[in-house]
This record gives sequence, C-alpha cells and structure tokens, in this order.
Amino acid sequence: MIGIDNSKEYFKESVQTHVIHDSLVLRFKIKPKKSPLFKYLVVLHEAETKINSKIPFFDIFSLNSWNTYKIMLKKLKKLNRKNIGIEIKIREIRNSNSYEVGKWIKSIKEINKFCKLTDNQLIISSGAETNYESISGNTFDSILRILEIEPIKYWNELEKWIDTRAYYGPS
Amino acid sequence: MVLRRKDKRRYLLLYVNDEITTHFQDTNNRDKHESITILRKRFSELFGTIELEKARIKVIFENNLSSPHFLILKCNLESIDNMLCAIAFTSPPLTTIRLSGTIKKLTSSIAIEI
Repeated sequence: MIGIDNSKEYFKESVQTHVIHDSLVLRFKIKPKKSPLFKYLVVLHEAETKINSKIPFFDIFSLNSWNTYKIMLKKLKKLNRKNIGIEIKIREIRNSNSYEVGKWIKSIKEINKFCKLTDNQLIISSGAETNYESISGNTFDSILRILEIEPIKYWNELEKWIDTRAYYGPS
Repeated sequence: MVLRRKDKRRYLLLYVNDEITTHFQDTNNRDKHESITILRKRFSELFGTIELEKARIKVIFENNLSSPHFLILKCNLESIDNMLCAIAFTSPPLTTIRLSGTIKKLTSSIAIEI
C-alpha cells in the first residue's frame, strides 16, 4: 500500500490512473478543496501541531518521537476522536542506537494496545522520503512479528480501516 | 536411521544505494563490504552476537553482478525475520529487492546477469 504526500499531479487523469487506482492513497495536510482522483487521507504531524480542542479535522496522527508518545496518547485520549489512525514511521529510528530501538518497540506495543482499547488504528509506515528507504511487504511482516502483532490480522484491519476512512471521488 | 537435513537458507537481493558509496567515498566496490559491516553491526546490536552467528550471513556474488549496486546475501531461514528487521533499521538505508530460496529464482525476475 502506497501513501503519497502532497502530489498535485494526482488531480489530473493519466494513462496510469486506472492501473494504480486501488493501491494508492494520497496524504494531505488539510482537506483539499478540489477532490483528487484517488483516495485520500488528512495527516496531522506531531511536530507541526499542538493537540487541543481547536485542532482541525484529521484522519491520521503521525507520531514523531518515541519518547513523547505517552504524553501524546494522553492528549489524544482527551480529544476523544474515534477511528483515527496513529502513524509511526520506521525512518525515525534508522539512526537510533539499539537501546532506542528497544524502547521504540516497547512504545509501539503500548500504542497498539491503546489503539485496540480506543477503536483506533495503528499504522506502521516506512516514512520513506527516497526510493531507497522503501520497505518491502516481507520486511513489514517480519517487523510486525517482532512487535508481536499478527501480520495477516494487521493488514486486514488496516485495509478495512482505509476502506471506511479514506475519501474518494468528487464530493 | 534418519539423516539430518541441512539448514534451510534464504537468499536476499539487496540494493546498495549511492548514499553508502558517497558516505565512504569508495570507488572500488568496497562500499559493499562496508554495507555488510554496517548490517552485521546492526544485527548484533539488535539481536546479539549469538543470533548473528546463528543467522550465518554470507555474501554471494558480490563482484560478479552486472550492476555494482546489487548484492546477494545468504542467511538461515530461522533468522530471516531478524535479518529483514536489521536491514530495515540500517542507516544509510539498504533496500531489499527480493527474497527467495534459490539464486536462480532470485535473479530471474530482474535483469541481473551472474
């Protein structure tokens, strides 16, 4: 599944549009005025926003650092928004040492527990900014197994969540 | 009497990106060795030296591939999850292109000559 940030060209129809229709989800910082040709989700980044009652509409909350996750989860719990996605990027820990990776794994287990209790969806993404940083499906499955999350169950839940949450077509 | 079978292995096709080459300013394919060193170090940091030895990571066809950016590694099937995780958590990033039980299958879908 591929999520692409702020891609203007996906508003125009091309030869490839129909081929990649279901496998592509666009990610926007705010809800677009003109509807794109693909499914889209509104992503809010931890670093760019403060969680309060005036927070704008969003589908995914993207966590930046594993050491502030407990505060963020408390704030999200207070906000009481159901069926949102909480995103964690693997890119964030590529440069971390093994101790930090261990802490990151522990934090994901707790975030997953939180998501299950509050009817939200855990989203583990590569966070890739270049092609080299992209992560294969097999690798995702291995990471999920290390996180003690059953891969098939996770992918089914994520697919269902995207189907119910992602917006599509002209409104 | 039942003979003990050999351990099952998996072959991984990796893409060593330019970032590693420029990182080590290497022109003589030594960047691949550096990427293996980085990968082994990361593996042992995350899962320990015992698991690293159990994984039996070996480099295959490092200099015989048509593209200098590709690298084939061999590792034990039991350690494949740890291996893929170590690759994903490595910086500068290494990209897993394909995973297979045989080298023939591994290179069949991609235009790589051995």
